Amino acid sequence: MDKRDSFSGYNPLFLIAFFLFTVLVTMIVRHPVLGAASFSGSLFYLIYLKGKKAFSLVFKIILPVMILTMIINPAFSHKGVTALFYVNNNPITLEAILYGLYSAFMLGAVIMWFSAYNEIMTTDKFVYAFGRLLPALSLVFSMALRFIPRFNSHIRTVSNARRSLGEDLEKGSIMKRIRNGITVFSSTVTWALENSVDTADAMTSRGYGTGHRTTYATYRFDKRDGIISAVVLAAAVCVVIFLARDSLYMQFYPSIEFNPITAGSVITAVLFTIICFLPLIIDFQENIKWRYLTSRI
Amino acid sequence: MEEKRISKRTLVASVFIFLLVPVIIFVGVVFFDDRAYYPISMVIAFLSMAPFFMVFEGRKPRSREMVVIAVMIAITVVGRMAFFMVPQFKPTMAIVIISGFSLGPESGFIVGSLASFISNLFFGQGPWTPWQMFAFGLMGFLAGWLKKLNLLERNRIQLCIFGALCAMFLYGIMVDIASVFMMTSSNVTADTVKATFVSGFPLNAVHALATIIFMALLGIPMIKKLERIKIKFGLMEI
Repeated sequence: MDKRDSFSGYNPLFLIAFFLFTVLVTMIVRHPVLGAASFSGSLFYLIYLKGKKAFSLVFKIILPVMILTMIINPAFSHKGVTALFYVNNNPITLEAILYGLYSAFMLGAVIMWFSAYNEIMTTDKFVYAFGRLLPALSLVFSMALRFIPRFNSHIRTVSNARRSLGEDLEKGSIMKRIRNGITVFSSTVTWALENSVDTADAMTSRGYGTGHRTTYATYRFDKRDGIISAVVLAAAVCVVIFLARDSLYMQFYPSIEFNPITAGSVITAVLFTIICFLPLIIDFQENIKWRYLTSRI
Repeated sequence: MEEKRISKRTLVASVFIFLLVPVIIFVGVVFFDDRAYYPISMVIAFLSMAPFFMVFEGRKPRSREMVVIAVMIAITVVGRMAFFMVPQFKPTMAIVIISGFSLGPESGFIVGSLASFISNLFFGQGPWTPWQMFAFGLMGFLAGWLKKLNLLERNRIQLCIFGALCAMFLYGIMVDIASVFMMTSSNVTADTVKATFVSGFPLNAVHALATIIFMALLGIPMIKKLERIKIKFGLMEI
């Protein structure tokens, strides 16, 4: 089946609000059902977006961070009433272990939401979203992004030229290599600064600062964006209202307690799960639609 | 007219800092029962950057100035990329300090914060981003500010010592506190803080050493280059 991400096609302002909401709720609210929804939603979406690469991220970065969190909490927190065993006269409590476990999953979910965000919020979307609020800053941001590959290729050119002079970056003692590296870097800095002024003059002569700045990509806030924003906003408001009434809160210390399950808590859990899986739901729905349309041709 | 505009932005910025931060702490303590350290500290770190960004916008920077700042950001990121295989051994701090020293406190903050934001685009964005942005930005700001007060001079030894102190203590402590909040989100105790500082010590030491080495090798030449550009292209006011 064709794999395309339709969720990223929505208006950047909606996307930023969506990620902000999911990340903040994940961090603030403490309940296994919501944590599990956020963790699985972000994990599956990340796998959908990045395919095999998602696994290397999960195993190389997220899992170590999670394991560290799981170990640190019971080792240093001795709160809780159920002591399982003692290490150096310090009780290791069941509550602290469970809390560490919960924090680990919370942290994992947050990191995965951030990397999904990184994946779909391309820089032109970012500049579009912040171009009005911070015009100068977002221009500096996009210029710096352009300069990075340019400087990298210039560094390669200079070091190749120096290699043909016999000053190879990969040969000689460490001190010599560092000194060679600094020479290459230093010449690149001079070149970059000199060149940058040309860029600035070109900008000025093309009328920078005289009028409203446009962006490379324009995103209209169309009907589709309006509908999805209204739906998500309504769901988010419901979630926040029910959470504020504390109908979904798990207490870890001193002992583990849940609030009684009410209609409100069930609604919150269902709504938040839908929000977390929304990117995937939209993508699958669009994929089915696409398949249906192509099959009719 | 211009003056009024700036003061309006500054006003917004001060409202951000002096009103919103206590309100957020209050909300955190009262409504979340003091159990949401990390998200709240993250939001505060973000808000603390707002005044710096607002001042920069309010100044209506000229295109030459903006391009020079963008170049310094890109150089910082490229420097971090060049040393991707050695953890913590990066020229980032040295270049941010040099930028703040030569371009002034405000531009120093912009270089530091945007450089860490952009390099995290390549190395991985996460809940640590606002803290790193704020910490690096503050180092750039501090360097420019101390230069203005004539406490920091164009002297290799002074710059090296300043860089090492920044990497070891200011940046190290800020980022370590962030990881305390991140790993043990609600039960911050003296023990967890101590443990994080102890485990962070070797990394901070490597960072400080790297800053000394890069500052010694790059510091004065790069400051000279920036001074030259400033004189040649009439950017003296920054």
